[in-house]
Amino acid sequence: MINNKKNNLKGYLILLPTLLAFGLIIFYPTVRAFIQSFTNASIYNEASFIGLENYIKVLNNPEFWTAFMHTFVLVILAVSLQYILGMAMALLLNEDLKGLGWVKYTIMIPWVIPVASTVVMFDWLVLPDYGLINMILKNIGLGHLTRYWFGDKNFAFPLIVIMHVWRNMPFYAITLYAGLKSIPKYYYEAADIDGASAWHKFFYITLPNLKYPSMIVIVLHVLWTFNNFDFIYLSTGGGPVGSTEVLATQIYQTAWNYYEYGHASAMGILMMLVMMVFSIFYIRLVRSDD
Amino acid sequence: MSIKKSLILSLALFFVLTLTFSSAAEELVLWHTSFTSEWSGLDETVNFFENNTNLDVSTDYGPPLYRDISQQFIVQAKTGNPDVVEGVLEQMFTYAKAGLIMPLNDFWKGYEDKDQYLDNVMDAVTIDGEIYAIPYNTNVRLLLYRKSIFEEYGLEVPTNWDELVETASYISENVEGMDGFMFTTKEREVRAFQEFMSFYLQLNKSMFDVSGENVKVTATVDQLEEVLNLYDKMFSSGAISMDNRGADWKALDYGYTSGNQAMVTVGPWIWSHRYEDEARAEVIDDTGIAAIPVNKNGTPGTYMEVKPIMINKYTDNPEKAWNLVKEVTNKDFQLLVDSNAGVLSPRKDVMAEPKMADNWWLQGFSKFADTGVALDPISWERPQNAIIGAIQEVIYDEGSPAEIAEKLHQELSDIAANL
Amino acid sequence: MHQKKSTLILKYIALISLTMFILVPFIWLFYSSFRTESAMFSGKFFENPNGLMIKHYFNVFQSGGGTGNFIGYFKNSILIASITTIVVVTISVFGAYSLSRFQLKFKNAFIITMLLSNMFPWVLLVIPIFGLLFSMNLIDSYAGIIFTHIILGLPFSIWLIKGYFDGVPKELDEAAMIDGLGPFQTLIKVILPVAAPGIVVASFYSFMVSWGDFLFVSVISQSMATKTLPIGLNNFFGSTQVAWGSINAATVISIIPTILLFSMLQKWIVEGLTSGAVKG
Repeated sequence: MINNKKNNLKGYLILLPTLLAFGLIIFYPTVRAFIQSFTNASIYNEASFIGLENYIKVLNNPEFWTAFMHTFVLVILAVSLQYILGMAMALLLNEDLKGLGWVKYTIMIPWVIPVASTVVMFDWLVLPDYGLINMILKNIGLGHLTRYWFGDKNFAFPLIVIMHVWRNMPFYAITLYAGLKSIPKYYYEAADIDGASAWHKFFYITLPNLKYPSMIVIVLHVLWTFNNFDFIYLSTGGGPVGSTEVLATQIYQTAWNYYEYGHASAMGILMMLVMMVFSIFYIRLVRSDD
Repeated sequence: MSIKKSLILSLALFFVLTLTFSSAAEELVLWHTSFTSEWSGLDETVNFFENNTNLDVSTDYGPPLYRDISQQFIVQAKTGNPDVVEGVLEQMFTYAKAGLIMPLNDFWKGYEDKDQYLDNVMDAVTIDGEIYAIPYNTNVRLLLYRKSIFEEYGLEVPTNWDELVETASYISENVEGMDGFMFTTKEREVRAFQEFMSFYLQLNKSMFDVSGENVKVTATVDQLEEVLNLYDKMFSSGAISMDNRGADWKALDYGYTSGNQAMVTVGPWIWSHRYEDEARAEVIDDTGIAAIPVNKNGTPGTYMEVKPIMINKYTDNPEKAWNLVKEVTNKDFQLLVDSNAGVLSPRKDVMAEPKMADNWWLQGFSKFADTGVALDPISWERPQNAIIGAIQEVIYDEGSPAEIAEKLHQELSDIAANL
Repeated sequence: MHQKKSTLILKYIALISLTMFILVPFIWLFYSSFRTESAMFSGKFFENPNGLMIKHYFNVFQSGGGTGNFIGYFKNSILIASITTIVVVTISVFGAYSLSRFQLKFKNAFIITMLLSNMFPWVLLVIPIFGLLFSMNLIDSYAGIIFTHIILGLPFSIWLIKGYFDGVPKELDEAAMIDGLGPFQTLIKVILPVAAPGIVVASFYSFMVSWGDFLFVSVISQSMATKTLPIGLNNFFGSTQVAWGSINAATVISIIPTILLFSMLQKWIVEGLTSGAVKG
């Protein structure tokens, strides 16, 4: 560790561009939004200070809590499925199987398709008459099951989860696969000599060695999923009957359909608090294991 | 290249780019979806405008979707850019209330073409006696039906709501691969709201009373229930397939022109589907146009759409902006845009042109143009969502139409109290 | 080691189903991009009365989504994403080095607040950011767009690169110091070469987030000169008409460069993540 005053100054100096970028693009607007959350700012009137009114309004709104629960369930389901499937994919990529090279080249496709196109693509899978899934159902004699899957109260939410899993799972796979590659072979060889089972090896060697990449992808995607509004906004609009409404779509609506910026900012700040608590708690948890 | 060199190079590049931003303050900026979103008349429209304008107008015509236009207009209107913006009527109410667009009364008074405009359309763009926009197209929702199907099965075009449900469910039952009718019912789908209003406006020509100090709801619980009942019957009778619950406008427009529905209530714009492929053109040619069936307690009425052209209040040059508005609403331009899109013009001289007067489609729509009712001038975003929410509750069986109408009425009253 | 045949078959089944899950939606889109619109709406798998055709691709390049030109969008996208990548990586290398090697006050607090950028809804920051860039005269400029894209890539990039730097043994630094190199030279000559693979990963990430951004470009870009692919793609969605075939084709086109890039960097990325990430 470089540790003298003159060099520390250099340390701050080279951190300066980072600080500047964050300060301008993140900090300054976020602080402004924070201040705005205590006002009645909207496009219709000049902002005036109203104290905690926005927060009280938000916390007393049952729709906020419904959306909160949906967000919570969505994040947990999506991120854990992404992690489990991503891990499975990573383990398979690490095997000596034929045709893997081809898989590796194409696996990142979902991650690079713009969201608007992803939604169109899924629409083409689930539309009543021309959607691939319904066409297949009809052809194998299950025509009575066809429906507009985004418009079904019981399937819309799972479908949103599937879209999230579909988009981000490959990123988990590649990151975890890279982590797998770096685990020294002799760990496993030693375990083989001791006669350890495959499960044993996975839980005592593989998982602990993937801790850091796992933390990065999980934190990154918890925040991403929490904040994502366009998947839902463009596919179901939050329906049917509010069954896919999440915080991010509610905030978008408050800010861009109702133009109540103060109100929307308060919702944003509350959402940020939740994510901050999660991040700090989770990162501490992972670090404390060291 | 060494890392050090590339670092220096990239930083230098960054600064150079910072300094070389373009800013042509002299140009007028116009945002207009007829110039941007992909449609059959696009090239002709843009070329015509660019060849005929005397003004220096930027060739960037803004975002193609109304949602993006309003979002960006609100973010940046105060910079004076764009000078002129096109939109939908609901956006005009919002912009006017937010003080982002300019009242045009002074320009209008001296405008030589003002007698050409239909009164009911101009009323729609007037708030408290102030004209906020010049309209360039207008249309009404009507009942479109497949003539060949009605002929083949010996059906009569329905004239009231009961007949509509009856005819539609008959078609769903008896015509292979075809549904009788279709409503859009996706959450936050503006079209779902507009369809609701097309039926509601027969029962009551207004929903909110804005004349007094406080906004009041004029809709009654019974009226709301009546319309919600129609939705309920349509889905429960099979007239609209349950598969189509939660569908958006794309499913309706493209569904109809793909031959999946025998009847829809829609505006004239789907005329332009005929340019997309032959099969769609055949459906359009097989289409009959009729008034929306009228409720037995109602009078003819339907949702009227008006597309306004507005001037940014913060424009540097109101005079020039007004000249631009005149250019994109003049006779030749409206004739070109509206005839290509298959929609009506609010100008009498345009509608009298053979290109419009001889077109059976436009004539079909213009016959019922006077049944169109413009929305009350309020911010519609909250009522819209409340109504769409109620429609969804009905068709997903969250309660009886009576209960839901009661709840909707309460919600509308709460919204009115805060308007 | 010899695998049992049944295990091997199971593994292939798992691999094929996961790959299918990822690829089927895309394959359907890819196939649709060659079909006529009436075939797409026919509800039949293989009915293509007019055969398969590249008309939609032709259309995309010719009409280019409204009055735009798709090649122009393409150029802007490449330019903006490339410069963003260079700037992000440059800033991250310095930032990560500082966080990895110097004893700074509030270091841990800063590392966590970096995540802030992913916590507050971007849609709420659009208005203040527009105001800020307007006052700096950066609206409708590459610089303005790049400025916002930097923030999209920076947190992950710093985090990742710091992980790699932490993995470079401190003894190497000390040896360099003894040779008389300052901290800056140590970074360039000793640490960077070792951490190079990690930098490739961060570059790919930054490139991708810039490539895919719609929100910021839509607000900052005001003319054809600065619009990017996602904006061009959006132009195929009209208010009353949707150019289905063109959307499919345009999506395929917008994916191709990133697939090429990923294929080229794939080996590097895997090695990059390998040598650094686990040691954080």
